[in-house]
Amino acid sequence: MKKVILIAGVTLAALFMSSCASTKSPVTGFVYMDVKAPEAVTANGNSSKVGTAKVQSILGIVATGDASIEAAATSAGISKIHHIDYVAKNILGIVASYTIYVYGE
Amino acid sequence: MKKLLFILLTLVAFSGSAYCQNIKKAYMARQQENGTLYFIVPQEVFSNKENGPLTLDMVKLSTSDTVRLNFTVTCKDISPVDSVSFEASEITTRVPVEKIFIRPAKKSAWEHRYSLLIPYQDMKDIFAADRSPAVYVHSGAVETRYVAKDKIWKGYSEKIRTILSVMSAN
Repeated sequence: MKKVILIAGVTLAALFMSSCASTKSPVTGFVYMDVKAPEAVTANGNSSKVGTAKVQSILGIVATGDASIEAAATSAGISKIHHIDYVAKNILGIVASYTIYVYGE
Repeated sequence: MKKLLFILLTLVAFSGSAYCQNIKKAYMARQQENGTLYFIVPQEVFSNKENGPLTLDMVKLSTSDTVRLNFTVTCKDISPVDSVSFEASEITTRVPVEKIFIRPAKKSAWEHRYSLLIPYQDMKDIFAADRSPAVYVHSGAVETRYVAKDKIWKGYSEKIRTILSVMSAN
């Protein structure tokens, strides 16, 4: 019985340790990643405001946050969006984050 | 001796580039028809013992004389803010704010987000100060004081002054 529990514990630990936090990106860097890339663009004109919203993941086990366009636009009082960029970060697959930057007015 | 010198020079070179990379992460610049739009990313710089941090981000258009400051504070109750004042050295600037939202936050608190326009020169004067300015958030007759720790202020104000130099140079 003790052996079964031990094996189950080691298997679970191995499963957890093999998880990796990840986020979308045009390129990947498994040791360190800090990348900025485009998300979307509209036909609207110049921007005067910028809003941000972020989500993050730890080990691919716990992920929290709100990186919706709505959250980012609301944070700056933007009602007319010009374009959206994002920044993806990852350190050793331990902590990963995805932040969007909404430009508009 | 030569090896040691080489290692030292390499460290100095990397520390310089690392500082530049830190600055690049602190702001974004976007060329558009009416000028260059600069965005200084949100930072938790100031704090209050009871209410916690004040998160600040800034937007400036190169062709404009004003800077838009957006800030977020958390309060135990809904306390609509009407103005903010900055006290730095001998300068005190009080500015009315526009509400962006008030919504529930964690731990039965309320998240307040506001926006204000401040003259660019006033902003430069605030960030030229060696010591952290006091930021007073006014909600009717009640004012809440936020300050930055010296170490945090030193690093943050240095970054902002560098970014302001970039704005002036372009």
